[in-house]
Amino acid sequence: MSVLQVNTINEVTSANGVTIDGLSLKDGNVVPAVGKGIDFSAASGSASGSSSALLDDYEEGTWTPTGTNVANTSVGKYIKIGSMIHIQGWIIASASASTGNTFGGLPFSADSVGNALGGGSTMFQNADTHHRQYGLLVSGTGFSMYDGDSLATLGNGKQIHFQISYKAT
Amino acid sequence: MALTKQTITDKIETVAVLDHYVLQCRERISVMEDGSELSASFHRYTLQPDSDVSTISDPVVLAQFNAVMTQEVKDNYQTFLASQGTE
Repeated sequence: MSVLQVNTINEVTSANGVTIDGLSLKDGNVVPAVGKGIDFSAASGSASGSSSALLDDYEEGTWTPTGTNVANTSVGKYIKIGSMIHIQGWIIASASASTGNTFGGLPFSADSVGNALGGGSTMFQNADTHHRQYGLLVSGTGFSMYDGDSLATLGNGKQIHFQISYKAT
Repeated sequence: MALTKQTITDKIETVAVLDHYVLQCRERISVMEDGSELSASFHRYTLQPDSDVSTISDPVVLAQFNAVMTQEVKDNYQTFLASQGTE
């Protein structure tokens, strides 16, 4: 086995970076090719029974909550780590009408095959004079708001702050 | 030294959900100065078979939507929605 010992490897052409067996290093970053990432399949205990051991995606951005009478000032942010999606947001009902109890606009479709809907969250709203906590259930590209076993409605001009985690399709 | 804002759809993903499809669209929003990008961020949205696309101006997104969301796909989606119960 040959051993290559160097202190520094620099790109020949600026902006091209350096590629080693398909893995690119550029400007201090590791840049995996499409569909590639960090392969944990050889790590002890990680691959057995796992449908995937490849961490191949990371992304951050914004999304816009939608729904009946959702004010257009409502906002959302997301982080995608592999197939796991974490979102947080702020939904405001219009000043003149309540929203429904189902919201849309999630940045990625949820994996709901086998009724594994995912979701679950914490949140609060100022629907009353005090903060209350509700449950959120994800399905497809939307989610529903529950107060115990019943669907809950966001009142006129009221707002919720929330976070949800789910698995993307 | 003129600053401009540029929004392009840089990713359109067709995702199969059982027997219908969802389009996952990503916009890259860039702040440009004299043609050079100073900063950028992503904004995402999804389109279901019954989505109202009348406000979508990107012709590529519209073409992809019309190609994927056939009547059969739309019918399958309605069947899917009807099968979704509440907990």
